[in-house]
Amino acid sequence: MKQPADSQSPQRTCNPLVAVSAAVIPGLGHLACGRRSRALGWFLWILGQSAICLAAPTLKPFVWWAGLLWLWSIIDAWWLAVGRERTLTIPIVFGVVLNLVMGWTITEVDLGALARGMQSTGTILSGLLTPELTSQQPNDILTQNVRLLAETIYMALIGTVIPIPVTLALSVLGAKNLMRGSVFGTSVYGISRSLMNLLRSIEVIVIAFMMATAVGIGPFAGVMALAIHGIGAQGKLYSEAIEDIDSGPVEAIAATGAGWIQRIVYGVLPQVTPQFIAFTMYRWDINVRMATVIGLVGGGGIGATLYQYIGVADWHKAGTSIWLIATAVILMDWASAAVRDRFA
Amino acid sequence: MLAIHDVHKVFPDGTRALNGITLEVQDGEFVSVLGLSGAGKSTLLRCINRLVEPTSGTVMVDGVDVTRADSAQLRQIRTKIGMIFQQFNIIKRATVLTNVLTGRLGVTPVSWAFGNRFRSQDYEDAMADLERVGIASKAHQRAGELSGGQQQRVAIARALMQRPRYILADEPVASLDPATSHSVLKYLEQVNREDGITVLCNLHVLSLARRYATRVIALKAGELVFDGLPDDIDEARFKQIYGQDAEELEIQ
Repeated sequence: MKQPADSQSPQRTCNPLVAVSAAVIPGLGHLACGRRSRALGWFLWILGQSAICLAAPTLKPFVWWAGLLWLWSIIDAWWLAVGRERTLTIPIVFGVVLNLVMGWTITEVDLGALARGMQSTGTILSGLLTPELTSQQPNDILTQNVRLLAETIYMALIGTVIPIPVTLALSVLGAKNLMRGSVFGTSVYGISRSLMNLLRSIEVIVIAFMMATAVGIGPFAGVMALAIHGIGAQGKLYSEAIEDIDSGPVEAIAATGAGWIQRIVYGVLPQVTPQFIAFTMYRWDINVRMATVIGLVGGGGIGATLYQYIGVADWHKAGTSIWLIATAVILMDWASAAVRDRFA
Repeated sequence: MLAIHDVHKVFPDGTRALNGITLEVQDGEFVSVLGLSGAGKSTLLRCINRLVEPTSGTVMVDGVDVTRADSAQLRQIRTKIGMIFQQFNIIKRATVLTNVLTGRLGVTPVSWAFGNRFRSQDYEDAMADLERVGIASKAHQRAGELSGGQQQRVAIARALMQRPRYILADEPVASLDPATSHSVLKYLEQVNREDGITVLCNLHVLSLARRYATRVIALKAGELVFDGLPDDIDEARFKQIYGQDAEELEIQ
């Protein structure tokens, strides 16, 4: 096992009695021996493991494991104190295996349920494989679904294109190579980066929930959700592309007496445009898939209708929607790959 | 006139690139700056138009102190100083014509950038400048499709578009073959003689300096070690600039 950085000086020994203080607070003994990262590691591991075991009723039987860990940490501290440091391979491997067992328990993996559910699974599958394709009035499922699919694709398109000006501005302000050099620039860079990371970290489906409450259930809520999340996700990609450009042309434009905006329009943007087009096409592709999911939570489009079919267990109609979505996603994927090959 | 007084440059990593350079360049001179890689030649040129901020010292361009200029004054000063680079630094995805027009950005309203707009007179001037460097027929091609020598001529046309009083050329021919090197340097020589543009040109090949320059200065470890006529550089001077083991290289 790799030695922590703070152990590079010759092995220290310290009072073994001090090391035993690890029995009071996990990691304290290691800290007393001057091993800060090892102390923090033990402390967080034991604390986290205990908390998980005590919090989940089904994991109570595993509480002894946290105790065993603690015991090991005391022995580890003792070994450090007497200058006979050991690697932690055994407790780490043991810990990983045990957490897999705990994970299995807590997620209620039940292979029996899969087998028992065979019959209803069969009903669902046969329903999905025989989609309802009639386009006769009054039960015009196919036309209706095609219209809803189009709504979803356009939702994704608008949700991709509308935020582009904001994304562009934010990505320029969040590109290190353009902003560093002054305190003001560095601050703007930090704020833009944080804002993009914040927007990116909130999942589309969560934003869709909130937007559906704010602007009402329907495609507009979905568009807003895609746009808001997209500003963060795309902005980060754009910024990184800008940070990779050749600084030479920007320097040359600056040397002509051009101002900051002119340097960006003439020196930076031409270098990143092909990648921006490819990224945006890829985002549209992602957004078509996201748009079907946010339909489930009130974002409109074909997802909302699919949710209704599933709710009344009408598997034939659900099959119609699913096959249409699959076809659209495959075509979008193919088209976006073609565009990316062309530009990137 | 260009007057550089006691300019020092220390980079954040501690590298002392320039160690008290004092230099005057009269209008109409073709000054070749010689020296090994890392001697401070590029830094010296960039301190003149403040692409690199000097640590101390003053740089006077036509009586204006560049080092004290605010950003608007600096832009104004930069419009009078064209610059040419070893890697050409043109916009490869834009047309040749657009590249030349960017020489006018310093006197073009900023908001016009969003429509790629320039004055109609600028278009005529740009075509005339391309004509002058012999690539007017390439005006509507993508600049990246041109050969290295042609790209450097686009860069010269861009600099001419500024109607500059000075041209700073940072190793303009180091990426080009000998024949192309001469054709590029001949254009610089021509604008120096016909338009009276003062040229400061970094070179590391002595024979090219002898052929084109009216005056040669040499830098070594950030200090000025020679200032005189091209023909005054004899064997001893040469070894002083380039080190004892250096052999003179002829480019025909």
